[in-house]
Amino acid sequence: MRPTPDDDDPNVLLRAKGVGKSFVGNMVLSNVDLAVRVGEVHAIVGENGAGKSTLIKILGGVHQPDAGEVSVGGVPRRLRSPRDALVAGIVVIHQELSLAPDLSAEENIFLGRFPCTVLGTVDRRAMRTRAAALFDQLAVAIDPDRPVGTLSIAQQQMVEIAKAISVEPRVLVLDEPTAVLDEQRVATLFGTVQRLRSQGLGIVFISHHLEEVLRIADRVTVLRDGRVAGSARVAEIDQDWLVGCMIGRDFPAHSPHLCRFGRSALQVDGLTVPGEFTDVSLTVREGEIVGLAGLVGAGRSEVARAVVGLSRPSAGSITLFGKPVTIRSPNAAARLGIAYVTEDRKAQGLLPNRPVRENATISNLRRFAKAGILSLSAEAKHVRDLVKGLDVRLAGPGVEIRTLSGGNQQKVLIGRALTVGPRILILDEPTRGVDIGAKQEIYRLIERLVSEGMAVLLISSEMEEILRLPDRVVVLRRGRVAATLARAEATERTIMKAAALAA
Amino acid sequence: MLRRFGFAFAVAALAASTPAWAEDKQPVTQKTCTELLSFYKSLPFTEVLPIAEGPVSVPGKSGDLTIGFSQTAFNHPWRVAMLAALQAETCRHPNIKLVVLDGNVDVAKQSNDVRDLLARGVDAVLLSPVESAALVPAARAVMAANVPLIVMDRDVPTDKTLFIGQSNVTMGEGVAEKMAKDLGGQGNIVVITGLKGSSPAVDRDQGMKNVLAKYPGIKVLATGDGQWIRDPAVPIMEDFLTAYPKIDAVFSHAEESSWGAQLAVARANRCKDGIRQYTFDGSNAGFKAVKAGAFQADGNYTPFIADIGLRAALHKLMKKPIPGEASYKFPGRQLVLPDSPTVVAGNADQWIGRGWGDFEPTPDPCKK
Amino acid sequence: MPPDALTASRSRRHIATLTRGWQRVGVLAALVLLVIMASLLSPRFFTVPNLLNVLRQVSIVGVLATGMTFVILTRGIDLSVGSLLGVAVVLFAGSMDSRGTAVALPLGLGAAALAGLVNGIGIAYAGLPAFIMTLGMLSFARGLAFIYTGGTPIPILNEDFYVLGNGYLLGVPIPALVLLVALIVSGFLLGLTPFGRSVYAIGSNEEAARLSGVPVRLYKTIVYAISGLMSGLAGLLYTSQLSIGTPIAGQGYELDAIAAVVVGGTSLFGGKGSVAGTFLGTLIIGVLANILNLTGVDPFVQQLFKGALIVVAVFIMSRRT
Repeated sequence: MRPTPDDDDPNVLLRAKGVGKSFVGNMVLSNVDLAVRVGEVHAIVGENGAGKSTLIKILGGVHQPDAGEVSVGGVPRRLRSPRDALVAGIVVIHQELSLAPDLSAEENIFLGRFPCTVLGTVDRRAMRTRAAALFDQLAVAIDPDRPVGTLSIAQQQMVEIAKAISVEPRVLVLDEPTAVLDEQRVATLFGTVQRLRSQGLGIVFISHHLEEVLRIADRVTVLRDGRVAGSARVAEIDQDWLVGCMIGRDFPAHSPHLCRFGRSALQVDGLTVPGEFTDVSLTVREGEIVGLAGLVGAGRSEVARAVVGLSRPSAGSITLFGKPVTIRSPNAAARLGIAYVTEDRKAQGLLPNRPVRENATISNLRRFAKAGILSLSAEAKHVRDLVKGLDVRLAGPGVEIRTLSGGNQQKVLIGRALTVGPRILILDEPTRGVDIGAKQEIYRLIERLVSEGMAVLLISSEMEEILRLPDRVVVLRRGRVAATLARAEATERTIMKAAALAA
Repeated sequence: MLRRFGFAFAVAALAASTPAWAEDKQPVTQKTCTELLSFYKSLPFTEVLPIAEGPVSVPGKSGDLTIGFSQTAFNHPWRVAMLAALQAETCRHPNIKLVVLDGNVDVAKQSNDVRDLLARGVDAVLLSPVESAALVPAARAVMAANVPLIVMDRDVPTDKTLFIGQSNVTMGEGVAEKMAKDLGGQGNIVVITGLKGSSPAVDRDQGMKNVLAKYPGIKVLATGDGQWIRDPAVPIMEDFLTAYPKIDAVFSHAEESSWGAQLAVARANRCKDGIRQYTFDGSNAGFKAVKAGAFQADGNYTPFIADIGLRAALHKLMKKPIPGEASYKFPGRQLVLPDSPTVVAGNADQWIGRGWGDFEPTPDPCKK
Repeated sequence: MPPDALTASRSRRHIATLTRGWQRVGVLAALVLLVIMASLLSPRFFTVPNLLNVLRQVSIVGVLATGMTFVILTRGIDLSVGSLLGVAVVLFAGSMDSRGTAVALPLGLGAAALAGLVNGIGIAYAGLPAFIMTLGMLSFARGLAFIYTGGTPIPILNEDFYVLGNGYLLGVPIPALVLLVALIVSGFLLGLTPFGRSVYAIGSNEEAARLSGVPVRLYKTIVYAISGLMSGLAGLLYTSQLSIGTPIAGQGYELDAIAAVVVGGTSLFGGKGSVAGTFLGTLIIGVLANILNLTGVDPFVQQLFKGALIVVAVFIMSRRT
């Protein structure tokens, strides 16, 4: 499993890692990761049967996972009962409210934990004061003395929430809280949620209503068939993305890979290298292909070179999986999971008079070294697998790479990039000087890589390529972003217009 | 060119690191005047053109005298010893300043060096040329500037004030005669020359050939290029020993090459063959080796002529006659030096201490 | 694949196999040929003592060439090896008798390695051309050797040291064993470590290596430091074989070392070659010199043979690939 880059993020309150669960041989959840941060509303969406309720029951201590672990505040917890969950700081408010209709609101809140006087009697005054304070905190006006049965559903829900926060949890899980509410009540609920969020709670929010998710959540995780189909910051996605993700179409080559977008992998903000490009911002998500188009000299390769540390930006930042980084060399970039397949195969890519084997593994020799000594057999196996997986046609891994055709050379160089074990792949003119057959194979290869979660930044001068592969196209003109086009907007006309015409 | 820079740089670095309280060390030799003055007593030719210790007064000139010395190179201790003799003479006369330039075995550089000396306004030029013919224009420039030009060791075929030198041909003849006598006119020898094509190597070889013409019983089995030094001589001699089961003598143009040959002999377990060694250079170490029997003869090619050169230049500046100078085959005059005999076991004791170099001989590998 | 493509690929494979086969055996074949010729020319050539002599004779240049192989594989050149050998030699000679082997060895080897390191830093970090940097070092180091000795050779009396240069272990001259150890260690480094792999990659295409994450500057620096260290080791063999520390030691050896590397099949254009080839190249040049001496060829004529050998060897090598 790939390490999650935010593993040691101190802001993460609740983390589920690799959680799996089966019921009588039926796998319901598999390898589910979830991270809820301080002051974050994290929505979980998915079709019925996608595994949402099971996940919530695991978080609430109702079910125990077969695999993986749940940790709160960085401490792994075994949640064998709702009480364990409560102790750990997780409170779940289920869809079906669990209030006693004959008891008053305040009695419901403190049911089972009434405050006591020194004489051992219920301290009604204290109870009253604290209930009022809780309602204040939620900014709702409810008479604490009224029997819950006489309150509206929305009010009852508030009582439930008040009850939940009275134990001062760290994470509040709201399972379909809006299902029973009308529009106006939803607005009130959201106000309350916002308020709790600002108080530093982590909130897990389950809903079928995607527009609500987009409205209230900071981050969303999509479950499909018991797996995480995607996870993203809400600011970076739209409803189409969610739909695509939830229904999980099998995408033909020409359709968008909506569902595959995961977290933001590479985020470039306001990057400037004097004399090369200015104020370039772009984001590439897991499973996404972002095309970088523009005329020759627009600064496309220069952006790539800056990302892998070959030039020193004077301004701007690079963020990988949410973490700001400074990259000073291709070596450092590789260690961070960025691989770069260069534009000029001959000048910058090939080790012409070295065997294919060495060409493929030069990017990550450490991978094959034990105590500083290369394991030639491990290397040979890796190269065999690469050659097979990439469908490189050659006499044997010992032949010099310059004897191969352009397409096969390019495949080996992509193999070299993959040897790094990258999560972000930057391809600069990957099909230049490659015959048509190999070109199609390279396209299929790229599509396969993104379907496995790779984030791809594709620099290309070939219109066919830039229209076919990317999910979004960033167009550069004279070192500046001239346009960012969604797949649907990207046509030869819009790209050329952005690339060539002054705004 | 670059070698010159590197050397100059290194000298500068060294000079900068010399503590202020130490007595000044002379460049290249790294000796103080105190050391050089005591060394002066051992020089063989101090009675030639003697000048008393103390400041030298030259008519029409007050204050310091600047003497320029352009040396072939300082890549061999013989050349360093030559400079030491000159520095020793200089130390005896406090008003003489010496300017020393390193020719780096490069005629072009040395030509420029000589002109540089003139530009600095030296009162006399001492020149030990890299190569005879190529230094003619530079020598003419000195004479044209009316500056005394003393040429030492190798000659220049043009006008000069005085030439002081020795003949490698006669020296080669002397050593070869000794060899022929020791062998009784019969035997197989191998020759290890100095750097092939260089004039001393050609002359020493010529001297040997002059003598061997009289001894048809002595056969030269093979010749190798020892380049004056030790390391090429070892494999050459090893291979000669492999190729020829009976070698009676090695005629080598340099002591260093002879040592190389002797190492090869020891390594091949052929010490018992009693292969005789005839050599040249005239170092104290060589004389000691002659005395110890490692070498049978050492051609006494002394570097201690540069002190005479300086005294000759001073004589000219003081307008004094130079006794013993005479015309010869080239324009200008020559100072004929008293003969230095070939050093053999019989006269080695007289010469130890009067040769050049204060290093010890290599331990004879055949005596281990 | 269509059948004709299959055939084409098969014949290409044959050619590739043949080419590689030639590269591997070509230098060896040349050596074998030379040895056969030498044996015919002189009955004394193919004898154990003579062959052991050749091994010892080639040991100094062999060690230099081994270090030089690293440098040339990166498409560099090290002209300073002869001078670094000289520095090591005078340091060994100057400290061996007075301060003992324990001081002398690290001093000489360390100084040479340090100078190599300086070469590497100048080339890799300051971006100076290798030719210029090492040419400067050639001159600078030689100057240091002259200054250290005052131009006078230093004889060595230390007996252990003499044995190192002239003795035998299991019937093999010790210097030849030192060369073999240097070759084996170097072969291991080049063939079985990420560093060695990267050395080839740098020589094959430095920019590609850099973009592949190879720490090019660091490795280039190490390569020159290795060459310096090997120069020091060669200096050790020199001093112990000749029993003298002279400041002119090793003058011109850089060219002999480069010749051995090139004759051994390592490309001056980098990325191609091996220390095994360098060893064979060293032997070819050594055997040639040996047989010319054995047959009493005039020293002037010997130069012709050596020059012709280098040119012909490289010509054949360039035809093959």
